[in-house]
Amino acid sequence: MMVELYAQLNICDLLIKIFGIASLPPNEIIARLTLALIGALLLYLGYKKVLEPLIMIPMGIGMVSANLAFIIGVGNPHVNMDFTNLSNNFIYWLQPFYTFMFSNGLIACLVFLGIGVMTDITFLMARPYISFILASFAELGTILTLPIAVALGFNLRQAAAIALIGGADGPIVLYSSLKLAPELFIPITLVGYLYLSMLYLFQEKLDELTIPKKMLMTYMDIKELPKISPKEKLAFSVIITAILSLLFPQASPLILSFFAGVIIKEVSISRYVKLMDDVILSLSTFLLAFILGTLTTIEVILKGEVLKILVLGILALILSSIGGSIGGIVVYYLSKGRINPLLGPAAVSCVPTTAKISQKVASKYNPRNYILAFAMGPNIAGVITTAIIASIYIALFT
Amino acid sequence: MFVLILIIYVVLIVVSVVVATIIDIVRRVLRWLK
Repeated sequence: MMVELYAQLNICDLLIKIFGIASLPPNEIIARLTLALIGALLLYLGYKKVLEPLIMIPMGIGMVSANLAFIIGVGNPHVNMDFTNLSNNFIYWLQPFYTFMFSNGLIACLVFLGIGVMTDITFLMARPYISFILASFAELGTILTLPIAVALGFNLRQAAAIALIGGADGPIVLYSSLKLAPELFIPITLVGYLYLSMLYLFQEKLDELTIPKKMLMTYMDIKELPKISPKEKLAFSVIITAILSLLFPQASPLILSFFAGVIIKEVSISRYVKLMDDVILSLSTFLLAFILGTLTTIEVILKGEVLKILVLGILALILSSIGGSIGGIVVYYLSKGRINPLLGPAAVSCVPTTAKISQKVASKYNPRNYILAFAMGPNIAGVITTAIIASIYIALFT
Repeated sequence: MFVLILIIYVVLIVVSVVVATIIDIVRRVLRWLK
């Protein structure tokens, strides 16, 4: 009996039955191993805090496993990209989270809710014109990347989703790519989050390159920041949510989530603040990165023309950052040298990373300078303008 | 394509100014009510 069984199975068949990956062509095995190594590298860079650890550690380990685990007839055992087929929920263990959190953009809204709870809107209310002028300049990449992406062969929907990486807002990139180009949402979101994690590496140098040293030293007195009471912030948040929802229904889920977070912070319901900050933001960030990692397999990456998206993504971010610096210089002259131009790059809306980078550069050139509170204004205005552009793109191209 | 991105940018700037104006009016009204 045993002899007959051995006769039927040779060693190759045995290997293929145990290790599904062995059934694949050699070039695909090499590609999968390479992607798994890239996943391990991202994890290591997250651990070393070169890249954002909250994103890169779960994403990296997800990539390692998803590219090595292959079951014949099933493929990736963790999650399947197709969320329209509900039977996948009974096969893949991460599929229920993926179906209910990614298919409708819920995950992006939950992250926005958590960001809202962390955000102070004082400067946005105190200096709305400056904040929005800077934010408009800092959308340069979001606008200019669109025709470049079309020239590289993407259709308008895909080009718009890629261009939104220039808005530097992870949840908006995810949300709009799901609405505009669901077939490309994994590579676009992956590239978006990768570059957003790398902002610390290049934004600082870019600020120093684009803004003259004399301007970088501009001192801003924190005492000039007017006091805005929680009641005013609360009333403002309600009114602005109503108006923006009316004007931009396509982006209203994001706008509502963000300002609901702001309102919860301002009314100081400590239970909700703890829930949003400790549980919802942490859980949704973890699930977003983890599921994105497990979806980043070689078939998805190859299909997604990832190299072009990598080039366009960095181009969009650099253009937005340069636009922000130009806006900062314009505002510096308009204010007769009273406003530090570093508020411009802070309008590239990665909350609160770009504002923190502007603070870091300002402290480097003038250790007494504390511009973070001022920088949060353009930073939040940047979130709103990016949501507006996303809404325009979704309305125009879908 | 150039006209399209120009229109989108102009719309963005106009909307930004409108939103900033609304924020300013809301703030002034709230101050006045106080």
